[in-house]
Amino acid sequence: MIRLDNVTKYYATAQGRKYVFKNLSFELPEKTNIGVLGLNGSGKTTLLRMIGGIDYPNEGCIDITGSISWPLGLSGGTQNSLSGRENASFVCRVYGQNAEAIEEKLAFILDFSELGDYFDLPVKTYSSGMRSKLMFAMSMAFDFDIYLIDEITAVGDARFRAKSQQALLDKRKRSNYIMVSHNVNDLIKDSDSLLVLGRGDVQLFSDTAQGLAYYKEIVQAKK
Amino acid sequence: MDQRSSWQIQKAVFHALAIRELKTRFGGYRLGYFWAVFEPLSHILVLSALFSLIREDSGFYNAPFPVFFATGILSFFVFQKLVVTSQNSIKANLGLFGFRQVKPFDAILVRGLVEFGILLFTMVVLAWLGAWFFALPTLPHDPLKALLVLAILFSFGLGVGFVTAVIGVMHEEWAQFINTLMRPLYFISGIFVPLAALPEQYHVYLLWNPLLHGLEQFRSAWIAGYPADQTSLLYLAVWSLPALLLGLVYFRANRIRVLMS
Repeated sequence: MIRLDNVTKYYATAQGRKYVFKNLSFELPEKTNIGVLGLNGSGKTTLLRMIGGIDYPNEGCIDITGSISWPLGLSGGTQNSLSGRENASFVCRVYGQNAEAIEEKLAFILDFSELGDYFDLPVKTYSSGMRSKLMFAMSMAFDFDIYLIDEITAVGDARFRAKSQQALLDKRKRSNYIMVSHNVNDLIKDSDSLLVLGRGDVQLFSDTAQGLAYYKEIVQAKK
Repeated sequence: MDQRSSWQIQKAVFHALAIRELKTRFGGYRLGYFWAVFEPLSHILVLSALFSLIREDSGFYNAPFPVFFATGILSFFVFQKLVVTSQNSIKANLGLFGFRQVKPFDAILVRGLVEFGILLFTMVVLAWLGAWFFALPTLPHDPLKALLVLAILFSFGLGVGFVTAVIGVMHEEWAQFINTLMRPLYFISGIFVPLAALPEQYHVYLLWNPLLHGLEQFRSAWIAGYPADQTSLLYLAVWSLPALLLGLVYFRANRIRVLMS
């Protein structure tokens, strides 16, 4: 369960506070795949980061039960002077795996990420595609109840993309996701509900067609 | 995924960060362990050689020069290294805060503990080297008190370290100032000469410095018969514990802001 209670979020800038959300309250239904739509700057990423526990509301609180992945597709998540293997071990340790399980997961991550020799080189030598592959492979090594995904379609080449889509599809048997994407069609196809971010307000639609219509209104109004 | 208790998660994070710190400290080049011991050793050797040349005796009170300088430098480093290395503890782990379990607090604390551990390891190695190869009296006379002094110096360094960690990301222009401040401290904290060997009229000024109390007390714990009755462990504690408290409060007040900048 994910519930936001009276969440206010702003960033302090040189021009005063820039509000992203004001007194936002909603509850996301369980066992539902949720697509998040919104214009640039409407706070999609901020919302995902707050649900992911790596950013904080200035007021209000967010209640979560169940395990939640780190936000996939965002920057961060690696210490770049360490190798891919060391970063992967770090994550396994954070998630409390024992030595045996770590070996298993490392083997999986090496195989899935297709990094080969690069797995033992510092992450700072990676291309951005390789880094995303590593991050994606790491998240696939664990079974979260909810995956937070930000524009995952940007990962790797077409073949790796297909493979990651398939992996996500397999995960869906026991996991759900909250996904941000600008690819509206894909998002509609895979999601059960839509969360549409307007300007400061957020609406949840259990009917995706209705949600899409509302989103198009927002886009039109913007034009 | 299994539900874990808060303490289990915290333990896992400490463990993961400690290994990550050791990897970057010692993993990159084989000489890492050598440097950890060599840096204080170089100070000790240079100072010992210098003082042997300019002074007729071979030590202060019951302590030969190498033992005298080693006790001073290593206990000084417990404070100084923590203050200096904490500055980067947030920046160096920024990517890892992408995992919800890992917080800047953990990174600062673990880096401090690792630094402290390395210094303890160095002390053991140097004491062994000195006793084995040079037949120096390197064993502590009162090991429990020595540990107590180190623990208080550690909390002092950690408290200031929490402040420098925040300054390191939010007020970078001040970070250089802290490093510069460390240099005069090296000269007025009693590394070179025992307080008792300095002219009496300056004592009243020098004794303001809590680190001088720490170093002298550490020596009196390590070296039997070392005169340290002018300094007090309590005075060091009166500085250290509030420093730790204030450091934690200052960090707490800025714990979210450090992630934004």
